[in-house]
Amino acid sequence: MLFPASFIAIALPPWIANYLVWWVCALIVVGGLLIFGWQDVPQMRWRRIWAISSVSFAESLRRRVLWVTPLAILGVIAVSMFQHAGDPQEAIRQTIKYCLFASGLLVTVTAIILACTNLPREIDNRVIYTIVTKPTTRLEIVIGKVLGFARVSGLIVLIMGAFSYAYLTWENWQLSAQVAQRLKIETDPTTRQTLLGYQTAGLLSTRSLDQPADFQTYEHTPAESGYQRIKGYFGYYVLVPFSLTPSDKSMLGSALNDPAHWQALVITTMRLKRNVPTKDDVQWNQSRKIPSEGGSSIGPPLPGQDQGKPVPQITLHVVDWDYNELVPPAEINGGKMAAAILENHTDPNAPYTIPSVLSVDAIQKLLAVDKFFIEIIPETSSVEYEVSPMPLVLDVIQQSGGQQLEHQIKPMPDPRRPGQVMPPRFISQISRYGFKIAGSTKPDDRAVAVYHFTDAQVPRNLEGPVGFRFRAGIERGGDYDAAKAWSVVSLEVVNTQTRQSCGPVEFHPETNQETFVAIPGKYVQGGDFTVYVRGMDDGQWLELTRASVQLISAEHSFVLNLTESLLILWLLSVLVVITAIFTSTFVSWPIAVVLTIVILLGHWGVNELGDALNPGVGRSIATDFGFSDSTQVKLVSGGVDALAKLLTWVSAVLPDLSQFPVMDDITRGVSTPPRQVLEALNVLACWGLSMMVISFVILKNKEVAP
Amino acid sequence: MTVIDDEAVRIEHLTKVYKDFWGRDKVRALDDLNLTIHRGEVFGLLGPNGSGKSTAIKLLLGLIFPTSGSASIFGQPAGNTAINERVGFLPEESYLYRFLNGEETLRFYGRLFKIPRAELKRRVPELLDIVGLDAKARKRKLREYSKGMARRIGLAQALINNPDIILLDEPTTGLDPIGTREMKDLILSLKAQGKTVLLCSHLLYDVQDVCDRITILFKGKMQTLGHVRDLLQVKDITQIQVKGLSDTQVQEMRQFLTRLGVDNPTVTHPTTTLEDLFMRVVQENTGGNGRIQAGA
Repeated sequence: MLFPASFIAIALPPWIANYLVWWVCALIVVGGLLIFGWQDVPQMRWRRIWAISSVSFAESLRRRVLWVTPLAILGVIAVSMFQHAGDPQEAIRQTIKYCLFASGLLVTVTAIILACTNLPREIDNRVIYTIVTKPTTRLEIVIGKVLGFARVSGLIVLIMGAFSYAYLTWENWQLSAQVAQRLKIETDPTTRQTLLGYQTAGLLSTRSLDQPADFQTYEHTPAESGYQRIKGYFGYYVLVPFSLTPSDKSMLGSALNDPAHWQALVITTMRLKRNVPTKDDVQWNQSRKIPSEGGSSIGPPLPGQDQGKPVPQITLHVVDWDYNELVPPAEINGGKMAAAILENHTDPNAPYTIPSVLSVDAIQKLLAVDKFFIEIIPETSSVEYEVSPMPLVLDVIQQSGGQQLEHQIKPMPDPRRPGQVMPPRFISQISRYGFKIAGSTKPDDRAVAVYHFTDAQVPRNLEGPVGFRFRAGIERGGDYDAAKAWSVVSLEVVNTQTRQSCGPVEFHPETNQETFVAIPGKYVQGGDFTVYVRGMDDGQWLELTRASVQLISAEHSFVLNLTESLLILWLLSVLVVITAIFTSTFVSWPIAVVLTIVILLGHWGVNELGDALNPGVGRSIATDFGFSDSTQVKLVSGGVDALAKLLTWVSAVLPDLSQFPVMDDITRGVSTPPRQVLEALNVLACWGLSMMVISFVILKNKEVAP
Repeated sequence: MTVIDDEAVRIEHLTKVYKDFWGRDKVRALDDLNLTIHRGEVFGLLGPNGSGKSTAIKLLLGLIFPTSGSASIFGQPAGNTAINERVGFLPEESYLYRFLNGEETLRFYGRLFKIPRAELKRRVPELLDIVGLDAKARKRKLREYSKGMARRIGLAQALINNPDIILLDEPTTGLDPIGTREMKDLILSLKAQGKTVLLCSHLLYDVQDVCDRITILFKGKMQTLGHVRDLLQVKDITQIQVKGLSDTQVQEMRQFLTRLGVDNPTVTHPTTTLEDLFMRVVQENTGGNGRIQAGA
């Protein structure tokens, strides 16, 4: 759960700031019980709580709540019967999704309706009179009702879980028979490989997967020297990490406050290989108005005139740790590409300097964040850019009495290598399924995705093969051999300690489908190793993410995994019950239903708004609506910004339902780690306990006689 | 607050003002009520609709909170959950879980008290017998009960903990004449067991039959308080009760009284009723027209 602790945390010691959510919840629980419940807590009796919960449970069952479960079951069967998944694994995972979705929908809707209506109804029809006039504390009433409806949810989850298991086992048996039949007639190697994988592992297989610690995409296999070459305008970029110290911020602050005498620049230094442009290069460069040295950027060269070499240029972006834009392009170098300084550059092996100016607004945005990347986009086609371990610095230049003083801000220091800066990160163009790398039949032209595994959880038995799960998008076009029905991809594992490589293992994945690749276990020994993924076909593009390559560290039981998912679902339903009871203590039941849904989905909803709530949204809206008067602009932008801030704050204290990942892992065939259950329990404990105590306090101070 | 051992209920300056949304006074439902109910007595709380008697009971049970003043039961502040172990309450209608049957209802309410399991098992059928619910009725859901049956099960739940004080709100409503008689007998039997009974009723003859003391509330204020017999007494008329006088003797008695200067003596049984008293109190407060406004 998030918490708006960004500025509070500054004043708090880390042992409080790091666990602020827990502290706040503990404060509510302890404070609420000490102030309002000091008489009620000692009087609390389990027998009474159980009796109240049993009445709520019995009432729900006798109101025929369970009659909805057969409908949900019929719905799941109908939908899964009519699904048209071509892949058997996909089909069974879709069915898992339907089962869990139906269970989740049923249990949450039931919980909301039961819990929201219960208390207001008992107050309206005055049944509450006969409860509160017994030696029952309001705390026992709240706990009893939560427990009662949690028991109802538990029963529904149990019934739906038993059905899901039975139905999935039956479907698994049917689909496995189909897989065996298909294997008898299938000739396509890609499909056979996939089907064999299903037959060996089983369609309901559940695995523990280990994620790589780091993932980067390179135009070529990275050189060990740390100097990497990138072709201009080829879709490969460089990210240089920065973390501003207080003195760095102070210097940038001077450039912000006194722009007449201070200036902030990004100085990029690179060796550049300026090749003679091909016809295509010329076309590309001209289309993007990149000038040529001694030539023109517009139109073909005149007869008798040489087309000069194009001027090497780059574009800089400032992005955050998730690669989201922090500074608009217009605020860096006036929105134009930065060009290499060619004057007096006689030695072609000497590095070129490429300066870019940062606007005052850009500086202001940098000062507002702790960490950021400066992204270098090589723009000039035909130029090869050599990226050194420190390709750029931030320069703050001070004009003082006719003199020019230069203060340099280097990239973030590398904690593993004292005295050195963090090396740049390499990424590529992002497409639908991830970062794109080009495949090729020529080894020199192949791009590579590099996955670093550090301290990975490797299988216990490394005598035999170990498996990697691979899933990536695959695009084909241009030079792709149309006669070839399948894609070839290679995966190579190099052990970091032994430096031994298993060599490229070729396999035939389908786009966005799981493929399992086996290599000898010794290459992952120790848990530190690097995986290189390359496309082996011309005209082929692989689209990869960090999760595209994962090590299968263990196999697990599907039943256990299903049980964990259902347990998380039940914990979610308990959270729903608590929220519903909380809202029903102070509003009528129809409003309580709406409010419960708003509370439960608020965090998710604001997250979905994403960048729309970033600072500055008010100004954008004022501009979009065409306000020109400065007072009106100020009023609108101020109002919208305040609303955005309020929404962010409110959402931050609402429960985060993403901590209840009922379907995420199981529908990917991945084992749900026990940590997920604990995280769900953590949200339930924090939010749930606080809400129960607040409900008790409200009920304690509420006159229950209408 | 000084608590005397003899006191079962003590109410001091109890006031309840209902407020509107803006916090402004809307209705003064109870105004500075002072009252003491002794242990072992049957006390009647009378008044027209809106007089404040239900408010007083709700305040005693902690269902609502006083604006000012205080109330206590056996020395403990009203609403204290611990004292509810000794309190039984029959609301004016049987506000019970309609989906439970008679036995389940009593078992549920019994589990809210510190009643041992074996004792509860024994007490449930015993109480069902006392209130006159037969074996068939005990297994029926409450939603299928008639109004009279609902009152009986309501009474049983009020007695499940063998309370020291029982608050009965309109206990005979919905009961047939036999049921009403049984209810009055039960109240008298509770009194005989030394229990305190506070009852609210509009059926004034019922109250007259069983109550030791009564108070009449009107517009939230206590109008009168005392023993039923004292309040019903007509003080300017002397009643001589003689058994077995013949008509001649009655005639002689009348002549004798005339000789004594008594003008036109009536030799009958001059009594008034509780209803007369009730109406007189109400008429005194409505300017003599006898009209009472509901909710006033």
